[in-house]
Amino acid sequence: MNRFDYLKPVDIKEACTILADKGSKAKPLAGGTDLLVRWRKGKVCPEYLVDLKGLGLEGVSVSKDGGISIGALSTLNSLLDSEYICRNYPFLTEILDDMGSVQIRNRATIGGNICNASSTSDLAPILLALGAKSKALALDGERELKLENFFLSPGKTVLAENEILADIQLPPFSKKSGAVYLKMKRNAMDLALAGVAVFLTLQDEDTCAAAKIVLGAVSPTPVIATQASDALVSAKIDEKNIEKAADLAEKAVTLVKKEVRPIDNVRASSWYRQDVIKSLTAQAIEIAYKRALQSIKK
Amino acid sequence: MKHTISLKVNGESYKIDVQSETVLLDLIREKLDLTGTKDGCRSGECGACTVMMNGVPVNSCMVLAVEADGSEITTIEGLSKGDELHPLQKSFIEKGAVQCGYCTPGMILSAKALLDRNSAPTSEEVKKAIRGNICRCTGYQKIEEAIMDAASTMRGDEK
Amino acid sequence: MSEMTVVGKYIPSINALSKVTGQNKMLQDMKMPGMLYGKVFRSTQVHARIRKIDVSKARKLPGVRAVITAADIPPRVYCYSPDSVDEEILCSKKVRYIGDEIAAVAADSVEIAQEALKLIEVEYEPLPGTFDTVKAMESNAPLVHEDKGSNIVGELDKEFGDIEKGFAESDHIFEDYFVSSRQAHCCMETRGCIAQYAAGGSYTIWAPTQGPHNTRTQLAEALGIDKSKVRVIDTAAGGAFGQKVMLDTNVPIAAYLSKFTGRPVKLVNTREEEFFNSRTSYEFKVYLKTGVTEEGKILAKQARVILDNGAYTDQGFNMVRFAGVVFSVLYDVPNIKYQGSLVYTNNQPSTAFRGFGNQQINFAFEAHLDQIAAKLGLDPMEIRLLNANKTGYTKATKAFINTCPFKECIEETARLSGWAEKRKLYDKQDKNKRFQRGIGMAMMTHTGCSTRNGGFLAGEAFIKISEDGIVSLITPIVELGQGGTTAMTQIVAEGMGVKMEDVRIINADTEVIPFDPGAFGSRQTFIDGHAALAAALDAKKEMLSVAATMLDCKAEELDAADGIVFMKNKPDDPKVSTRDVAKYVVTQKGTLISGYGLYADETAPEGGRTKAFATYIPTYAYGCQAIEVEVDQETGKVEILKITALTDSGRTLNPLLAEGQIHGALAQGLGYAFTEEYVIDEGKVLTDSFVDYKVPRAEDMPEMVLDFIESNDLGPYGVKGIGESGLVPTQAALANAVYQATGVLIKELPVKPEKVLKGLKQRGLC
Repeated sequence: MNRFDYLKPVDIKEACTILADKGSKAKPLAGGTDLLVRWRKGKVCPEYLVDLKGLGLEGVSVSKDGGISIGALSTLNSLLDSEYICRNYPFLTEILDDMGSVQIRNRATIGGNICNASSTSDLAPILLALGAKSKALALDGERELKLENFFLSPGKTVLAENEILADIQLPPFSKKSGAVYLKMKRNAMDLALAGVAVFLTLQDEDTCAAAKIVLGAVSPTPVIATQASDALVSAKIDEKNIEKAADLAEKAVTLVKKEVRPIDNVRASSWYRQDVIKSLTAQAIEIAYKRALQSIKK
Repeated sequence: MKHTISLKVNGESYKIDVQSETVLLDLIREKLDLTGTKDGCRSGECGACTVMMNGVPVNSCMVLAVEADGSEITTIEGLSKGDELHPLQKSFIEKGAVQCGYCTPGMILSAKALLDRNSAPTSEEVKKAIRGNICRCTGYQKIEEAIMDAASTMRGDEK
Repeated sequence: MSEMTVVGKYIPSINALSKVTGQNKMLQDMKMPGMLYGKVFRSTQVHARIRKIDVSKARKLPGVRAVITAADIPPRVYCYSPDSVDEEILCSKKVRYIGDEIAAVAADSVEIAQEALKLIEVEYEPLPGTFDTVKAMESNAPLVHEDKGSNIVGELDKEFGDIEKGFAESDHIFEDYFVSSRQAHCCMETRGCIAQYAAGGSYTIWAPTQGPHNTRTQLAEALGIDKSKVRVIDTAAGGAFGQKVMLDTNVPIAAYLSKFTGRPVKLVNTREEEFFNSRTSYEFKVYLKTGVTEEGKILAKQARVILDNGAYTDQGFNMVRFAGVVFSVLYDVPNIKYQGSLVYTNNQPSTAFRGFGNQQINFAFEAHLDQIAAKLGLDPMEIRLLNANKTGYTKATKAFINTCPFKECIEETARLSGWAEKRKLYDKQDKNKRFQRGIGMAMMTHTGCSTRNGGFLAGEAFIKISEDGIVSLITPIVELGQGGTTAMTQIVAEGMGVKMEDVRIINADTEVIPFDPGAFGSRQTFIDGHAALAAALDAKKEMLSVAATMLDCKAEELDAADGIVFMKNKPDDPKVSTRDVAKYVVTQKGTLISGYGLYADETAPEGGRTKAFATYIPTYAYGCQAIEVEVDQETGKVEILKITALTDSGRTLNPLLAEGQIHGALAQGLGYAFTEEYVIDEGKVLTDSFVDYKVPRAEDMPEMVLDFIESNDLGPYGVKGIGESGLVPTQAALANAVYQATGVLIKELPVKPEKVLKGLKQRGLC
């Protein structure tokens, strides 16, 4: 067992001070559901764990424009219980409801999920699709981050050692929009083998004004399938275009292949992930489209 | 590093010294000798170590003891009142939901957490609520029946 | 038979109360004064010579009480199978798989012991490994045990009838190849023990086992000491499933650690160790050749199986034989050939698993049979019925089928699963649709009562009755959660006519219980149940004779049920309670009541007591399952809609517990069939956690429809064993269902979506 000291700062300032002082020796502790597993396996050996819970970084606040700011230390179950999220971002509730187990969701936090930068994160694809932003805090001030630039590689993000992720901000969800995240897993409790988030906004009943398709679990970090997304913009949502987008999403995995190896491991082969991406994308577009239609009709 | 923490376990207050690295599971089992909470995988996957922390189920292998400072914990030993069993405990016995018994304490606490929030769960909701608890003996069918039966008893349904 | 009071009734487990309250103490919950904690230093190499072991730093760590290596203990190579002595408690010269034991530490805490492991230094000289059984049999393969001269541990070759003649007479011959992979037991309680050495050279072991006497014998063998020096106390296991039939390799290590420290030592696997070190089921490679007539009658069936023994020999010899027996007995075929090879590899050793090799060979043959049916244009049910077993001797092997509900099992499965309609409906479905459905079935036979392995098939039981009327049964029954102690309680209560709550079970301790090899082969309810019943009837006889004195009548006129002794023909006459009789015996007669029961199957099977084949199973049980699936042809994802399972129980002693056994077996069978992929890459286990070894969760279980056929066999009250059979036909039923849905047959378990999709692509459908 690798020894560490548990530190519990009383406020954000103290937390930032500790992180700045200890540098790479310290690791922020949120829910611990991932960190403690990796610590036990000896994959991380921090000398200090800095508990960020209870510093006021929990809860959901609604901004003036109807968007929300989710405190990074909010547990997944607290978000699952949020009526505002359920009403305004129902797809998020749906995703949370299928993440891990009840026990895990009572500890795991949204910030922890994002900062772990796991390739199999179920939240990253949808947050990227929505164009989420974040605030990072440090002793010398704060900075705004776009989530799409946040992930560098598995376990690595743009956050500096002395920075704390404060929140995840979501823009208001338009009346003409629909979103969904679909994943393939081996059984009820599993990490995604492949996941697709689709967020689209309609111009009118059958034409798409804006679309974003993000792929998860197929590469080290979530992939925005730009060409697939673009194929839907200003296009009719019909069988032909859905298939075209799905094909392009599948190709997006291939594009990734050139830069980094797509994930090919004991959970699934890369070819299988790719095939599944195609199927999931088509299905996800249809669902997102139907949802957008419904919201227009409401 | 040593920390002195205060917590309530099954209604009893404790002030106790723990190391930074001690997990709640070891505090409960080794220091308090409450061995009803089982050690199954130490990675949050199997649910054998499930306890209620401030009213919600958690994997006690995934919580540092020091993080539980100030909290209220309920373990399986705290569920019955003397000889009076909780309806879930009764149903688990009567419906044949217990075989080797290793998953049982965690399973019952997950079920309790469900019924605390939802007095009339569907079969699907029951299955989902115990997703984090592996049972290798029963195939879950009789566990589901027991939870449904306890829910009905707790609602006061006529049988 | 007259009305039963407890046999055949839904009766909850007698251990459940302590388990739902958290009071049940398992091995992991036990502490002893002065107890130390052990940890094992394991090989990180698949195959290597040990150049140097340095434990000096570990020994100096404060809190460490002993560090031992092969140099510290008497050199000894042992095995439970005298034909294949190959294992050391701690490796002296060579390691043969990742996880092989090299050194061990006893310390004041688990943490200190783990720290000490980090200070142990081993220099290896890596050797090439061998991992695939077929390659391992080649002459140039690296030898796992050089002294053996070959990687082939043992071979079995059996022929009944004339196989070549059978093939010559056949209209069609079909050949196929299947792989039944390994499965991990995943008991929720990991393996462990506490060992206590006592001056004078004796050892007491507390451990969850499937047979405390077996553990005792095997530990004595491993340590090279007399059996009389070992006492084993079984702690009720947190799951076993075959894993705990054989000695846990931790036990002799803990024993030595205790000897060196003079203190009790507890040694428990982590979950990770459990995955790569606690042994799995055997991988079977199965080559099949079957000759049939135009009508579908099987004239010749031949199997060649190759089992992955892993680095050390465990249950392999027995399994090669048992799989051959069930292969040869299922279906009444005149000409049979069976060849089995057990092969060393540098993989983790294999061991018994609920089903004992039956599921591995059954998957192959039952999937193969559906292919034959398809080629001949026969319904899978039809071809099975055409070749059904019947009561009496089988044609080729001369196995004796005592009761044979083959036809009832299959017909009832068909009825409950809606076989005929669904089969037809799914045959006609639009094949271009994305989602396709299918229904598949598989049949099985399994032992209804263990084997006459080594000739021994006997059980003994003692009853004592205290002055308050409490009846204690001294029995070797092992409680694994399966309900063995509840079954014995029922049998005694029914047999003696006492109340269930007045019955106590005394078991677990080898110094107390009669000799018995343990809970495996679905044997204990049958054999120990017989002994318990005999003891109960013996005690009852004495009880009724005393009651006759009390009631002033003849003992023959009396009977007892549910705690009351009454006149058989005059039920309204004065009665006494069994408790009153017990009190009367002590206070008025100045004596005590007891009972003795023995069950012994004294039939020496054909071929001798130790070498018999099909006749070494005293009675066969049957079972049939049907599985209905929906396959997404875009992703290969299979959804299991419903499973129907028919079990030949002989007589269902306790439907509540019997259903639990079948439900649990189905979950394990479906896991094996579907999601439990045990991946070993060149000897390294890649699926070493529940994250990647996917055991079923509640949501993964489909609708389960169960029924039992009561064939009324030779067991007490007519029972047959049912502990294992529920998972045997599951794999083939699933594969056959997927085949009907898609035309793709997966021949290597598990039937995972990726393989289904690959199959669909190769057929040009996707």
